[in-house]
Amino acid sequence: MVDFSLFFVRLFRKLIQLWGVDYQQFETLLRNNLILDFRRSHSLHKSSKKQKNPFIKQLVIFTFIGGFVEFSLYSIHDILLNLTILYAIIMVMLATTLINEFTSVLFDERENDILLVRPISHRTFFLARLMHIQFYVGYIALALSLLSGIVLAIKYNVVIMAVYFIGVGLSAWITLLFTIFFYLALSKVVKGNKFKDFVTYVQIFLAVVIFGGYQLLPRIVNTNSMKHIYMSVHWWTYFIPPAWPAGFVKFFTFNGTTGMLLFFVLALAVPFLGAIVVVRFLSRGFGNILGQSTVDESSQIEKKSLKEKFSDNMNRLFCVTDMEKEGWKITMKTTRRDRKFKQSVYPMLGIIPVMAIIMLKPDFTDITGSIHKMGDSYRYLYFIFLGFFGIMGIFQLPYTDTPEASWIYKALPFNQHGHLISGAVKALLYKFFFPVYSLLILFSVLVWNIRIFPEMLLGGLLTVFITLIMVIFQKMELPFTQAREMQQKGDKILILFLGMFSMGAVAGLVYVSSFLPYWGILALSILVVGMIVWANRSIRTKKYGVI
Amino acid sequence: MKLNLNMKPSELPLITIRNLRKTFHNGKTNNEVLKGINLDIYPGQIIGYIGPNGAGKSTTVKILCGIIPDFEGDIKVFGQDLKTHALEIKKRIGYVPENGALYDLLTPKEYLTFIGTLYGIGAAALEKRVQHLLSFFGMEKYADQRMDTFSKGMKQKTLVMSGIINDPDILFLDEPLSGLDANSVILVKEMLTQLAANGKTIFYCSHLMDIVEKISDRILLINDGTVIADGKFEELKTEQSATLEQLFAQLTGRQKENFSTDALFNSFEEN
Repeated sequence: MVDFSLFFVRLFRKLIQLWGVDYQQFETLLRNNLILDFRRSHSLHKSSKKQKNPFIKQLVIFTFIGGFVEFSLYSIHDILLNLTILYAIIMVMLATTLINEFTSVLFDERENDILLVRPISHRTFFLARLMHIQFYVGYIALALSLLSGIVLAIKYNVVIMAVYFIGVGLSAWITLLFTIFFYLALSKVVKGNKFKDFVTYVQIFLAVVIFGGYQLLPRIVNTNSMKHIYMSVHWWTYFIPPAWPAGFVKFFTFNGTTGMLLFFVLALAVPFLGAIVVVRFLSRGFGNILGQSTVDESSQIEKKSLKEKFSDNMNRLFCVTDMEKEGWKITMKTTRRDRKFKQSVYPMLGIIPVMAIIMLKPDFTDITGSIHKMGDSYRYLYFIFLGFFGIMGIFQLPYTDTPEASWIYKALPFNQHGHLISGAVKALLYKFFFPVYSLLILFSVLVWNIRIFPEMLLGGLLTVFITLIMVIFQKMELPFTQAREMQQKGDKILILFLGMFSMGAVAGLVYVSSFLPYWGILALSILVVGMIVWANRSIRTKKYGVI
Repeated sequence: MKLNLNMKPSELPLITIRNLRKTFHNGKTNNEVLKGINLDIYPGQIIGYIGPNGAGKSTTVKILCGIIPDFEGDIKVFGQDLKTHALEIKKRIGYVPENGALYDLLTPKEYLTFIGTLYGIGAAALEKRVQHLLSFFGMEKYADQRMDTFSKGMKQKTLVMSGIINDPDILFLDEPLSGLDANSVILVKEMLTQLAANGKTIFYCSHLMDIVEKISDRILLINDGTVIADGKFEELKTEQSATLEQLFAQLTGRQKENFSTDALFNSFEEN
């Protein structure tokens, strides 16, 4: 893979030199990065289980996704429309992957001390970074388009397939350039750490949009009516990036209009001229972003906000021992400052409204009517179920970027591990579940009536109880002590599955309880509070050996 | 107290720094790390750059090496402007970082070859040079082992090697002796004096006052973003401060804190 890619890049040697890049250095940097990647994944997997290269596995998944996309677009006969949508989907997926998974590679600061002192121009360094990312993005793009390319070869001919793949390469490159352009423009507006925060929020927003898109799009698109739709070219069509490679391919079917020639020119010119703009003129801004982050801003003073003071007071209400309070405080502070934690937890919260729409299926043409109809149903049980997304963050508790800091728990005469965990769990229940579930209660009381309040309360308490039981059974590690790489994807899905299953049971229980008079439900709630206290006590007093 | 006793008008300075300022922006808060530094550095000197934690030492070195390209003020190295001729300057300088940043999945040989190629050294010459360096630092045995299992000192040696692989005229070192065993400390100290004897300029940051005192031709003391002392140790020392350590404490205004350890122990007794 590496040698082939380097050979492929070498074909563009003259062009790359035209962008003001030292080719010899560029290739050295790129080769080194790729070698390091392969050694890294190799040594990672040698130590864990015998697993194949995870990237290959990912590519197989992307191939399937691409096949699925092709399948749903198959009925569109107009090649221009078909390919425009196809390229649009490929571009959106690539941009998401780029922003969510490769941002850290793009702004990797670890290489600063090694590379920035060498006589490498910003352009060379920047292009090496871009190509390093393009190596992965290119293979992902290829995997996504593999099956649709084969379909094109059958529908038309092999030349069209080849042109289609060239278009895929071009659109991958366009996507990368646009993403970089977005970042560099953003860095002009927001500076320093605020920039990183901002990127985090963009990532969270994208994660929610993509999830929503996957769920909602198939419901909106009506496949039957798509057979006879044709895409007419207006003046503004030339501003839609996915239309460029699509028109580029149609140009080669030789039955398009002269407009296709313009698409052809755009598809080629934008990547190359864009690269000149980005590499030649914007690479300095990139160097500044990297340089900015090399020095730790140690003088930044953490001020206590009112909210924090309030949460510090709340811990007195919920926490019993000093160690528990400390667990609460350290969790509150770390989760507020750790970007990676936010990245993995906040999207789950963003999914709640999307899931609510999917589950309730309101009729958007008649909102008041469908709310009225809802009022007569048991659909508020879904809301109890949605509360589950408010506790997911708790299972991210053990993970951190600095697992080596956990030596303190081994070296210090410390045996209150359980207290630390229970304080941390309580903090996250307070921070995420409490506000989320309060909103859910508020909304459901507005739609249904105050009379369902006891049931919602019972549901919430049961959710808390289930969470604590899951913490116990999972034998949760101490907060912020495990490396994120160790996080096995399989475990995560298992928790999700188990959690969903038990949440179904909770909703069922609440449904049964709804036949009781309200004081019966309240009595049950008090019983559950007792169970929560018991579960919490067993987390707290659980004996931990030496970790 | 500002001393500048190192004027050598006969020689042209290798580095001139005028009004160097650096501010880090973080949203609305600004943090001014360097507050107007003026320096002239001449060839063949060993310069010890010292100062309390957070004084701006590393920031100065990172600016001079081109890691932080964005600063206020004028810096000329080899008579060229650092802002416009960074590439030409970087070819002639070397840098040994403080935090041990290197690619530890490579072997020392691979790493040095990689760095050498980036400097544009031809393959044959590079191989010879790498061999030379490895044997000087007694690292031949480990030349083909991946560095992820190396001790801190062995990594540090590799970093020092990669800092001089391009035969630089100026060598910047940030805490070069950290993690080295006693033998390697002697080796690096010898190397530094030899390089200086051959007309190279050494600019290094350290917290090891006794070593700075012994090997430096010139000591620069920076505090809170400005240079507060500049000169040979013999010129700087006063009656109250016979050692560099004492001078350091006196000038950076920490002597009271340092010697009020009573208060510290009192706080233990209260519990």
